Amino acid sequence: MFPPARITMIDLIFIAVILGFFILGALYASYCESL
Amino acid sequence: MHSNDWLQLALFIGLLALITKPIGIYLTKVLDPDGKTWLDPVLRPIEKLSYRLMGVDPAKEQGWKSYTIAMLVFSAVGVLFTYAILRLQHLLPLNPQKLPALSPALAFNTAVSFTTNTNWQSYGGEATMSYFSQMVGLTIHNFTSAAVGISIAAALVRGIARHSASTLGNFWVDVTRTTLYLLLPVCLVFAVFLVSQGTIQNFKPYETAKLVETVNIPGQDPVTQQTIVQGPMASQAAIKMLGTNGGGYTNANAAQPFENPTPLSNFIQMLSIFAIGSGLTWYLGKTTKNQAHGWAVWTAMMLMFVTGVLACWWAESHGNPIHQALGVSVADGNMEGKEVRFGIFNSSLFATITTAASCGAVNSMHDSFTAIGGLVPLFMIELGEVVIGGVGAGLYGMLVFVVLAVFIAGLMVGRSPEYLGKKIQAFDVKMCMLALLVLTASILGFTAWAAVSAWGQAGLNNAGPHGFSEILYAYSSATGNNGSAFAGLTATPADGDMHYNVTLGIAMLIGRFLMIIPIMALAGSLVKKNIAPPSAGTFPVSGATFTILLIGTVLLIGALNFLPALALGPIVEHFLMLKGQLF
Repeated sequence: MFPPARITMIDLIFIAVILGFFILGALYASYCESL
Repeated sequence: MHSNDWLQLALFIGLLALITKPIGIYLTKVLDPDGKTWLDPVLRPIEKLSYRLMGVDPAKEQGWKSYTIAMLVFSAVGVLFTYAILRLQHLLPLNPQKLPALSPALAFNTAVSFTTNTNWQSYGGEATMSYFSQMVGLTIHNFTSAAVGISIAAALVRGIARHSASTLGNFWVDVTRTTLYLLLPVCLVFAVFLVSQGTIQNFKPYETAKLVETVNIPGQDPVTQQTIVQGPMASQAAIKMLGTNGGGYTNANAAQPFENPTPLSNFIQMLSIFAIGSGLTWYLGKTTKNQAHGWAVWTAMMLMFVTGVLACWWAESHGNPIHQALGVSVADGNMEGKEVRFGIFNSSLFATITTAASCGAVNSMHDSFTAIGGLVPLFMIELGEVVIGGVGAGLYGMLVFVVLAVFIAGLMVGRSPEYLGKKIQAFDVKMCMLALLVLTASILGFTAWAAVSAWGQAGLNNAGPHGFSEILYAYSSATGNNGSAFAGLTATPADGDMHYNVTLGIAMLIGRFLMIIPIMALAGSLVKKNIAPPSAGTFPVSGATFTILLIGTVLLIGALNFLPALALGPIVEHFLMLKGQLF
């Protein structure tokens, strides 16, 4: 059904998106505090 | 609309009211770090060991920002953990079907989905997930994401109840205690109950059965045998309901006889979806020392719930006039997409419960409901799932509306708005609006993008307004962390297009975390405030006036935000159905 997994560039992009979102979340908390 | 069905509705609401206080009392003990439960002799050593392993000082409380950062770190690790399991599924144990790894986009969507308590499934569980992925990658999130929701609600309630303080509790303690003392023991009993009803729990390879009659499909080989799914279903079904997760072990979810075998299992599963959320309203009253307030919030939720059930039930009972013109009896209503064992009432009741809460488990196909019948679950999600709502998420969402209702009441009578003796100021209202607007922006923004894109239209199973409803439902469900679907939409197409999986994943992240962050900021603001004694001008947060105002606030904001989109989908579809047109 799906191709066998190997670490691909797309994997790295998704990992970066996940980490990036949560880092932005922490920055968003600081923004909320500043309002 | 038979008398038996009315009786069952009354029994459901009556039993829910009866269990609300006992569950609330137990929650009060669980959410107090020093609370004593009858499970202490067994679980207290495990709790202490957990803190030692995590390096957590349970006596040290956190401010709103530390609490929020801890929640974000915990969730980020959870997403990455499940992403890795799904991408490495073919190398991991407990995979007797030798299922391959998931594609990157599907693994991203699924990891985010289960971490955010959404449990949107862009796949069929029995054909995609190994036993290891189901149990370690997914079921673990059913516990932890529910515990996170309850912890955030507890932190907000503490922020309302405490005064002149700076801390809201300890995130690690709240998550640990909720999982250990509440979710694990209750699910153990619940899973055994489900097994007693016929839900399976095993690690056997799938069974193959020879069909009595060969099925001939034009252009394909004759089908002579059927694969019957096996696996550890009861343990997942228990927490998927109690934790308002909703992700089915099988693609048919609670319509599959192994997952939901009997009328009793169906009734108890529905009750369990609401159980903790209902108990949390009692916890709110107890903690804020205003029990009437807790019951007023519960009553507002129940009035909206009953209205939704009746509307959905009425629409499905009356069926589709185009079918009736072809000879289908009016008395049969709309049975398309429904499990015959459950019929129209139990399908309508389940659909309303699962979308009022942020559960998302289904025992019928919402895509096959009539236009108005389908509008009810869609609108329930778009109200913010505050009608009991997801475990924890329903309460903290409803408290945002409570603060707004109090603010509006204050403006109407020309006094400073106060909530339980605390002044509601500009910062608090800004946080409430940020929490609500981000949901609207995500749902409507992504829906608009998909509706005008080739990739968005390619995933649809229906044209016209019903196709639009499929898109609107998908992004409402993802952003609202519900997980149910108008399942005509295909998010994982055969050509590998990633748009739906990626955008739905991002919508889930936005709907969960960008809502929680301003709510925690609100909790941090409220906890610092002094409590002023009640005066003649204080707006009461209990009684009929408050309940009606709260319902009005919820409906007004839900209607204003989403009525234009609903008009383009189910509302126009209903009128076109009356004119004889189907999609």
